[in-house]
Parts: sequence; structure tokens; C-alpha cells
Amino acid sequence: MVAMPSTAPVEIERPESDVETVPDTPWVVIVWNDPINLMSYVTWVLRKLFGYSEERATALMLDVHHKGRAVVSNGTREKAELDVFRLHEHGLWATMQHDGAGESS
Amino acid sequence: MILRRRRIKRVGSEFRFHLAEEETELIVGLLGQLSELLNDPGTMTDDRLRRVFPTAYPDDPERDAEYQRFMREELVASHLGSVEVVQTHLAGGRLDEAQFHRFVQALNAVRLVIGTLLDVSEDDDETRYADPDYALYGYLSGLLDEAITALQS
Repeated sequence: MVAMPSTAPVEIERPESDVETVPDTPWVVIVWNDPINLMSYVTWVLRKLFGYSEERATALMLDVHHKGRAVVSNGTREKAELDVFRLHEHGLWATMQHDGAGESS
Repeated sequence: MILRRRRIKRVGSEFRFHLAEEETELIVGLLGQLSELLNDPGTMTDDRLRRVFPTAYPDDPERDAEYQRFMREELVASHLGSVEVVQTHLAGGRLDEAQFHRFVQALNAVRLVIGTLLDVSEDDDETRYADPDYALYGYLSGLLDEAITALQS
């Protein structure tokens, strides 16, 4: 464990912005339709892992079911890999790719 | 009308099981087979585990190989951890929420292997249900769906 430093905080100038730094390499995490995972299960996993509302998770699950896939999260490569791993831990068929790549398929 | 007793119920912060002894034995036995499969280095490229270890980078074999090298072991450990939690606690008939999540994950991992073996498809109809292996798969699917219902109650 680490203790909080007891010295007085130093003021650091930070650029004001209402958006987080935009990652220069955005990645998207995709869940693909498969014949094994239950719809109720997929919805539950999306709620659990990403904190989505019932409505949002259900809409994503239905996209996966009807359109064959859905983008469920995005971010840096590291974040996307972690999300893919957590989805694999839950048995979902998840992959990642550069944002925009292969969108025509 | 037949009223079937729910097999899994949320009571406060825990989940209680009402399973026949044979059901518990069946589940624990299947999970034992799953951990044997996961522990066997010979099954690294086993087709039965294709759905348990999906590709992360389908467009980039090099990055995928790197991903698999780092993450596969962790994924195996995660599944084995879930199996162990269930094998230790299921017979007691009650699991806390974290243990119950592990139960749900382990049950789904078994379904992935059996579903892959059976080559299930979304177009399967009742003609396939006569297959005893398919009946087992159907049983596990029903139980998983009840587990999800219990989580949402």
C-alpha cells in the first residue's frame, strides 16, 4: 500500500478542456453474433462489464443478434485489449480493430 | 399447468440453489472435464476450445499471436478459478454474488465447449433435440437463463 503524501499540493497548470485527451490511435471493440451465447446472458455481460443501462445493453445485444455485430466499447489499444480480455473471460466472441477499419463489411 | 419450482433464487445478498443431487454432481463433473481440457497443454489448439479462446485481432496475425502469448494463460487461470469456486461451494447450495458470477461464467464456458462440439446453429429445430448431448446442452442453457433471471431479480 502507498500512503498519501502529506506535503502541500503544488498547483499545476493544466489546459482547460471538457474532453479527455483524444487517443491518437482509437480502437473499437466488437462483439460478434454466435449461436451459443444466450441473449439474456450477453445483455447481462454488457451491463456488468461496461455499466450500461438495461436499455443500452439490450440495444447493443439486439444489434449483435440482428446485424451480426456491434461496437461495445472503444479507446486506446491498451483499454481495448483489456475489454476484449474481459469479454473473453465471459465467453463472448469479441475482437478489436482500428476505428473505421473494415466498416464496409 | 405445471408450476416448476425455481432452481435458483436470490435471497438478500446471496443466491440459493434448489438442485437435485444429480444436477449438482452433473455440473461439478462437467466442470472437472473443462478444467482437465484447460490444463492439458495438448489442447492449446484443440478445436473444442475454439470458442473459449477467440482471436482478438482477426486482421493482424502478428498482434494476435502476441496477445495470445500474454493473455491466454491469464484466461485459462480465470476459467480455472471460476471452476474451483463452483466445485468448492455449489454443493453447499448457496453462493455470494461474486461466487455466483463465477458460477455463471463457468457454466457458460461449459456451454461454449459443448455447443462447439455439437456445432449448434441458430436454425436448430426440434429434430436435433432428440440427441442426448443436445439435451444436456439444452439443460445447461435453461439453467444459465434461470441464473440470469435470478441476477436481475
